[in-house]
Amino acid sequence: MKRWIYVVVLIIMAPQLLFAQDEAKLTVPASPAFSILNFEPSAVMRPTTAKSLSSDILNAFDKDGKLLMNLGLEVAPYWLASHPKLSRQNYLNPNLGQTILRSLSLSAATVKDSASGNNKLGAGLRFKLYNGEPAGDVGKLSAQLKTKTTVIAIINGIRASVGAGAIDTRQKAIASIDNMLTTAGIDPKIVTETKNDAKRLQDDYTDDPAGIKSFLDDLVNARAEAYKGLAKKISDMLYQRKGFIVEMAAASGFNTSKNNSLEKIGFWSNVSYTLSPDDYITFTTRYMFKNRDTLTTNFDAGFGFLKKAADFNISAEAMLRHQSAEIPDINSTNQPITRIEKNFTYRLAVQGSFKVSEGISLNLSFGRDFDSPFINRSGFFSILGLNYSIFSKEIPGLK
Amino acid sequence: MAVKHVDLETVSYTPQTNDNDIIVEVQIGDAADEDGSYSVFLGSRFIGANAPANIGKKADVGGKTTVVSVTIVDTLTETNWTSMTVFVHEGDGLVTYGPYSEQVDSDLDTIVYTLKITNS
Repeated sequence: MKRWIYVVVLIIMAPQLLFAQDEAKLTVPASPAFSILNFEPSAVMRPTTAKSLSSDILNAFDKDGKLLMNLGLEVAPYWLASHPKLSRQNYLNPNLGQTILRSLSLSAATVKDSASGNNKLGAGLRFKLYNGEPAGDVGKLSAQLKTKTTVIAIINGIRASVGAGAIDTRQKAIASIDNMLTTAGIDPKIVTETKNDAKRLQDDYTDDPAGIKSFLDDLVNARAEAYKGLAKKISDMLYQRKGFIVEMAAASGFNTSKNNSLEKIGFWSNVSYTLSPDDYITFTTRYMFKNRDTLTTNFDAGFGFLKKAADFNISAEAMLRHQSAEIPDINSTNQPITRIEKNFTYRLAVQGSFKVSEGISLNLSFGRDFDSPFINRSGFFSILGLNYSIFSKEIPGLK
Repeated sequence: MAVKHVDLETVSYTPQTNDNDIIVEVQIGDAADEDGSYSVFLGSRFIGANAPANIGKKADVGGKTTVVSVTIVDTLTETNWTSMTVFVHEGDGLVTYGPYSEQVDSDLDTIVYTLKITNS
C-alpha cells in the first residue's frame, strides 16, 4: 500500500521535477539541434557511411519534396570513412585540429509544434577542443588483447592451409595450432586454453576440408568470445576520459511555416575536470536567444559538481544568469511600446539519489530556480521522489 | 560479439631481384593497431606475427602463396570501420596492397581479413 502511495506522489510531482531540471544541465547538449527545439525526435538517423548519409537525407523528404516531421539526424563527418593511417597513438594524442575534426558532430531535427501547428527545424554542431586522457592504462590492456587476437590470426592462417598434403585432419590442425602459437611466443596458459577449446569442439566436425575449416571457424568464435570482457574494458577506457575536457556547441531553430524565420540561437561551452568517471567538476557558459512573441536573451555561467558512488549520486550547481527581454506592451495612452526588462538572476540546486534497497532509490532535489521576466513565482523548489527499477539496477543518473 | 571473415581477392607478387629478402608487413588502421594483430605464412609454414616477416628470397617464394591473416577488434565507439594495408619490401622496392576497409556490424565485433599473395 505504501509503495503505491509513493508511486502516486512521484507521478504528481513529475511535472515539477521536469521543470526544475529543464535548465539544470551543466553540460553541452549531446544533440544541440534536439536541444534547441526542446524535443527528442521519435526517429533518429545515425548514418555511419557517406552512402547511408545520402540515403537518410533523401528519406527525410516525402514524394512532394517536403521535409518530414519528427525526424532527427546525427552524424560525425570524420567517422563516415575509414582511416587506414590512423594509429592508436595519434588517436590518443591528437593536435587541436585533429581533436576538433574527430569530435565534430552535426545534428538536425524537425518537429511539428503541437500548440501552434508550425513546423520547426533545428540544426546544430558540437565539438571538443581538448578531450582529456583515457581513464586507465589502455596500453597494458591492449597488449593483452593483442596476444589474444594473435591467436586468432594464426588459427585463421592455418585455415588457409587446409587441404590435401597440408592440414587434412583436425588433429593436424590442433597440432599446428599448438606448434605455431608456441613459436609465436604466446603465453603457455593461452596456448593451453586454445587447445582445450579445440579438443572440446572437434567432435562436432569431420576430417574433410569443409569440416576442418568449419571447426577452425568455430574455434575462432570461441576465442573471440573469451576476450569479449577485455575488449569491453578497453572500449570503455578509450571512451571515458579524465582530466580537462573542453567542449563547444551551437544550434539554431527555424520556423519553416513562417518563411524559415529564425526563432532561437544557442551557444554552449563547457570546461570540466574529471577526477574519475564518478567525480567531476564543471564550468559552463551558455547564450540563448529566442525570438517569438517576445525577444529574450539569456547569458548563463555556472559551476557544477557530480559525485557518484555505489549507493548514492549527488550533484550541486550554481548558475548566474543575465536575462534581457523585449516585451510588447501598451503604455498609459494605449500606444504600443516595447518594454525592456533586464536583470540578473541565479539558480542553486542540489540533487541526490540514494539507494534504499535493491532496485529502489530515493531522489531528492531542492534549490532555487531562475526568476522569470514573465511569471511571478517563487523560485524555490523541493522535490522528493521514489524510484523503483524493474530492470535496471543502476541509480538513475542525475542531469 | 560476432566474428566477420573477409576473404580478400587473391593478388600476385613478382620478385624483382634474386638476392634481396622479401619482407611482408601489415599496417592496421582506424586506431586498432595496438590491439589488432597479424600473422604471415608462406604456404603452410608460419613465418611470424606482429612484426615484419622475412619470407625469403625469390628462389624461396617462387610458386608459393603468402597468406596474410589480420585480426581486428572494433574497440572505438565512434566508428565501426576497420582497415589494414599490406606492404611487401624487397630491397629498395615496395609494393602496397590495399588499404582494405570493412565495417563490422556492431561495436566490439571482431573482423578477420585473409589476403593471399601468389608469388611468381
